[in-house]
Amino acid sequence: MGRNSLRAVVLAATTLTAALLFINDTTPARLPVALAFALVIPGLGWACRLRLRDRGDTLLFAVTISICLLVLVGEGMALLRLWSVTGGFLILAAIGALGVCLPQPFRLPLLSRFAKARTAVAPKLPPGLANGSAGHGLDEHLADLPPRRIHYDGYGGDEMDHRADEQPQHRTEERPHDGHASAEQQIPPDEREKPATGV
Amino acid sequence: VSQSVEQENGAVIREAGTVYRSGGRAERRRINRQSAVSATAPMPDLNGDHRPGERDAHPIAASRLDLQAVASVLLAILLWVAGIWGADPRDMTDIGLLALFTVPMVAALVLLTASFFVALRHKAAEWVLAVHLLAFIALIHGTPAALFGTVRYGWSWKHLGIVDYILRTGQVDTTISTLQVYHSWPGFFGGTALLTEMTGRSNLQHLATWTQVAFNLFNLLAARFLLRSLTDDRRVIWLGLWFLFVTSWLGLDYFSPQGLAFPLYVVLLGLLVRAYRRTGTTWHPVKRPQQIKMRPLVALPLMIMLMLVIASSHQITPLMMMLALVTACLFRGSRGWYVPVLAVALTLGWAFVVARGYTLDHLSALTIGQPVQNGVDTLEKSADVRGGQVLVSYGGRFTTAAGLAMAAAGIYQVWRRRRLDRLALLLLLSPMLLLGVTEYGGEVLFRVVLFTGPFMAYFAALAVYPDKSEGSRNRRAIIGAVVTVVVLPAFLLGYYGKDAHNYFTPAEIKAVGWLYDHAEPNSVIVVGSRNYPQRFRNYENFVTLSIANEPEDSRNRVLADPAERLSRWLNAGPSNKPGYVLITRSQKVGNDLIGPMPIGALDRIEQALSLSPRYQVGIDTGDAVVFVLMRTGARP
Repeated sequence: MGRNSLRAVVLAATTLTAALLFINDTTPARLPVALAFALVIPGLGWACRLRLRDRGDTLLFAVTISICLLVLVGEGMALLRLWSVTGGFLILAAIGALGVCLPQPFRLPLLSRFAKARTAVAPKLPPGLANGSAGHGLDEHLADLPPRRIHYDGYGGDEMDHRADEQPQHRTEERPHDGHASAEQQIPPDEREKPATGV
Repeated sequence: VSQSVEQENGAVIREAGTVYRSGGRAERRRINRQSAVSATAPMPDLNGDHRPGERDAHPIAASRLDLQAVASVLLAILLWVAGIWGADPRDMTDIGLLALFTVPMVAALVLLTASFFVALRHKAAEWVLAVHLLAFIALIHGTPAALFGTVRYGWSWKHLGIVDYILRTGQVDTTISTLQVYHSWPGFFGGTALLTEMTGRSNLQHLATWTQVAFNLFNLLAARFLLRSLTDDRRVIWLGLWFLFVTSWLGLDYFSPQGLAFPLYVVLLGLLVRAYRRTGTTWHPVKRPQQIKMRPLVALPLMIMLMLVIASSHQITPLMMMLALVTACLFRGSRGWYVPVLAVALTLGWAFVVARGYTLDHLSALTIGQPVQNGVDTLEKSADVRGGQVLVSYGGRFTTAAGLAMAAAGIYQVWRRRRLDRLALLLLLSPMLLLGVTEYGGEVLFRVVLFTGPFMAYFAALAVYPDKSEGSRNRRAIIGAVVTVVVLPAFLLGYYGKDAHNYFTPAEIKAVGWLYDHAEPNSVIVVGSRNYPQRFRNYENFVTLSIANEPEDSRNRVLADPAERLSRWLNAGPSNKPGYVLITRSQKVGNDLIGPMPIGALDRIEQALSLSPRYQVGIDTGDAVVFVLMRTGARP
């Protein structure tokens, strides 16, 4: 889902729920709409920012974050004796909106220097490592390297998979995720390694 | 390494690093070059369907198989619905909902199981496997909700009472005398109250009725996330999920803080595995799943949020969370020392700051260092069961025993292949530590089984698919199906077996609602047992006494002369308030099945009160009756 579609979904769901809530609607539509809003929308933008490759995992985190927010807001209001359904809804809506409206972390001024540093280092890294958002990133690579002695005895197959994981220079093409091209994909096609399709 | 792979453009067989193929020398050299590259590359992501195999070779046949699988699922749903259509929950016997099973329902389960394993054997697309699990959840967990139409389990109703309290007063009271524990860990209730306000207050009971389905769907997503963190073998992931749902007989997924905290706990462990797994020091090297790792910087805020919600919502899940994270870190399964430190700080911080009143009063309830006694306490809870409930009790135990046996076989299989995952093993074993800490009201063994569940299912799936070899696919699918066929009846006994007394009729709910609406504040209410739609409205206004929960000699005195003895109990309350006695159908059924009073005891009490001139009938709905003891100066 693109950022604009995501914003549209969050905005539409929030507006619809607000309308049903504030006119104190008692039609059967209120239950599914408010339920879908409360259980998905507050966390949807934040879950998408995690850039998980799997849609099921993204849905899981949208629901998990939403439920956690619902719990924290609800119990916070009850413990502080500040109970207000309007207030609770507005907090959830605001957090949901922030999830889709805030710039990506590396676009924030404070972190942009770090992002630039990554860009400067990335071309010197083995292919695939520049793609930090998927996990195989620079920081992990650096964290993993010092204590580890990598052996490679030339045998392939199943038993060597764990060692293959730790051989980033042989990493093959990874699929793009969530519409963001990896640094490796910016390499001209003829310079890329062949994809590993079995034998 | 033995691995055989079929490819679309001809029979290419690779065994022990050798490639045989009909073709020229140049072609063979090219293939050898490619195999040298692929040997050093990570295994392709099974979740992305990029592993070459028969699905890639025969896409049309694969699509046809997928469609057949979906058609089988639809047929199974139709059979199930046809089988249960028109059933009356009042006809349930001492084996609960299982008594209402018909041939089409059994056929539906057989068909669903067969279809799942055929799909697994043919490496069906992930959505096809997911459809089977969704259907299983909808059928197994949706049936009680649809058939009963009311909230299942008596203790769910008192959770509704806490939500009702928050909705009425807009607060929780950590010093309240009744059900203080829920006010001290109010996360689940606060969240539910806010959700109820948003959806409309009249929907609270509907939400609670369907909570089990919702929590199981949440469990499915959470467990899939966890298993995908442990392996990238799709067969293990989905067979593990199947085993998880086929062995989850405990029914701890109802409208409760535990129901919410469990999937959150599973997500937390999934994040731990993805972001903090220690790979360099495992006992045996394990393959690290591809493309799922998370950076600690990304995972940590999520983990803190989850820890806070768990720590503020439940009592035993935070304890389990601490034990799991400390164990994983201490035995070098995970890195990041600050993760368990945060868990301990948040858990103890909540317990000794927000919930300090309850915690300090109940510290003596911790039974540290008595694991055997704590376990025995759980087993003793089912010592007095009668008739079919004995079978139900053994059904649950057999399900767990079978799951553990399969898990042990899986551990042996992967240990033999030098692939035993230390972190998964630690997380499997860490719930056992709960036994050494608390008896949890005689339920700790159930909680151990609950928290062990996902890892038990994972290792059980590894017993069937211990490695990635493609051989013996039929045999493996048959093994999985046979295990399911053996376990499923026991699971159904354990899960549905107690529904005769977990079901409450609308007439019962109406009578209890009338009582809570009409009884004056500070009145004393005597109930036959706690198995009824209890305390779901204005609960803090009443003092409730349960005949079944009294000591045996006290119970016997009541049974000897109910009218006289209960009058004395009720007269102990404020002198100007009427007293109430509530006898319901579910109390009678529950007592007749699991005790502790003799069979028919509550019928005799009801008869005696109806004949006594001191009592008036407040309301009689057929399934429940409220007797009112009139006293001088009291208003009826």
